[in-house]
Amino acid sequence: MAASSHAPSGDPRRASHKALVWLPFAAGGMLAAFIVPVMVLLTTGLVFPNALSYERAHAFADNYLGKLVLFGVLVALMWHAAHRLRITAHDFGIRNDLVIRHACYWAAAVGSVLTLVFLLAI
Amino acid sequence: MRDVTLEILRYDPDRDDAPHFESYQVPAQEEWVILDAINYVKDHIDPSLTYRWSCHMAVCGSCGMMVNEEPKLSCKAFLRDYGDRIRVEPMANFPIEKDLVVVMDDFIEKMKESKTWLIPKEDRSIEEGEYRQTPLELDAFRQYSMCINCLLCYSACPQYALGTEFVGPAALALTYRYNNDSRDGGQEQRADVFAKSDGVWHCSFVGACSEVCPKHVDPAAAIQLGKMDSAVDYFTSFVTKPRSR
Amino acid sequence: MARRPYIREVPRFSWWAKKHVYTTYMLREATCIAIAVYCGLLIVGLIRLSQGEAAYGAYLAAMQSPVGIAVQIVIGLFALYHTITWFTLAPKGIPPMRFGGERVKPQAIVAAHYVGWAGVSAVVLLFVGLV
Repeated sequence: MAASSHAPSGDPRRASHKALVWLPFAAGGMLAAFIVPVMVLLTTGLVFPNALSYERAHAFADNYLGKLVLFGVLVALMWHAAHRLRITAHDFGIRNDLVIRHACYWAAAVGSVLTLVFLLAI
Repeated sequence: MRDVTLEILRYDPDRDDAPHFESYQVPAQEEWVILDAINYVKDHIDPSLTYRWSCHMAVCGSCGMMVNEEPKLSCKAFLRDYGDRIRVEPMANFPIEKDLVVVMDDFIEKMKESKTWLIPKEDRSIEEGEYRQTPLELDAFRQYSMCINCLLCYSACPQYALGTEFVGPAALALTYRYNNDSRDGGQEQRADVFAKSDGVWHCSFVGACSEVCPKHVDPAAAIQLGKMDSAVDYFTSFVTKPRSR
Repeated sequence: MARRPYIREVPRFSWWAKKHVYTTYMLREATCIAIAVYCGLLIVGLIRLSQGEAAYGAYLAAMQSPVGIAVQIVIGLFALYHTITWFTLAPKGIPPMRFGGERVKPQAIVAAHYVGWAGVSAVVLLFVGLV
């Protein structure tokens, strides 16, 4: 994290901007821990093979509560992964944090927009 | 009695370009600690061997070393837990001053920057009596006050190894300790170091610091909780009056 | 005697391979790659779902083909590792709680996470599978 995100001098914020990205990271990590294993179990079809049939999946995504749940879960998971990937890149010896963090957070942002657009298209 | 071989990393700044290992045969007592074996080397084999130690009872925090590549207090690492060849090196992640002595100026500087001392919320005269504290208030920070500044946590921390700009485990844990002392009012002054990207936000929660801490301080927990405090502070600082600089 | 401190270099790219705790840490951090890939698969699913029954049917068939299942088993193992490590570290990230005058023990916090995980998993399974 060589390219630091220090608040510029005169900035009234006492804390680093990393606080802003850390909260979604932590929330997404908690969510991922609780639900990704069971989600994977369902999407493989190894249990309840008909659970994700077109009719059922469409019915779930066809109302605003279902859209909200899917959007919330995907966005949280993507921001978790994006932030962790940024840190991991640094740990693997890749020091160009400016490029890395733009790549990670923009990928999550694009993913979030795609999720929103296609959820609304359903 | 057991003969052990100590492989000690030696470095003499007056003569050596780089450190090198030297082996010493030590007739050791089974109840000895590593420090006893090192003392034997200095007393009977090579008096020029340089290292720090004082209390021999895990209180002074000066005899930290790498024992078989793990950061240990050499007074608390028992020979019975090791084989017949034991590798002793100065603490990782610090420059070597001489032999097993490391340069710890960086940490001392960080302690100063971090303001790891009590900054009283209200000034009281001696006549007004002591600052009182309930057992519950003490419990909020007690474990973090157990730090003996031995720096094993810095030796274990890969983030400090990769960039010494990181404030590091002990200094951050001690900052957390004072921030959470009911008598203290210095949290804002400490935020300049604590809440910045080289402070708690540099930590990626490897957790190795807490594993090696001989006093169970758990710096990793202090830093995680510090991130939470700092995140709350980040958002509330938008609505509260900006602090003048 | 002149001061001439010697600095030992840390291998920038391979430091994590030298110690078990560092390697497991990197494995833990690398779980984010599996999560990211899985998110990608799910977004493709949403796109296919919006394109109608035939497109979604092909997507589901691919996901539940042997290759699709194999890929997801790898993702699932990484996800499980994330879950386990996340729960193990949870007590350090939660402010101290008191219950009946005593501090709640770290093991109790970890156990509560596992109980919650079992509950959430059961609810999701029953809701998606049966409702």
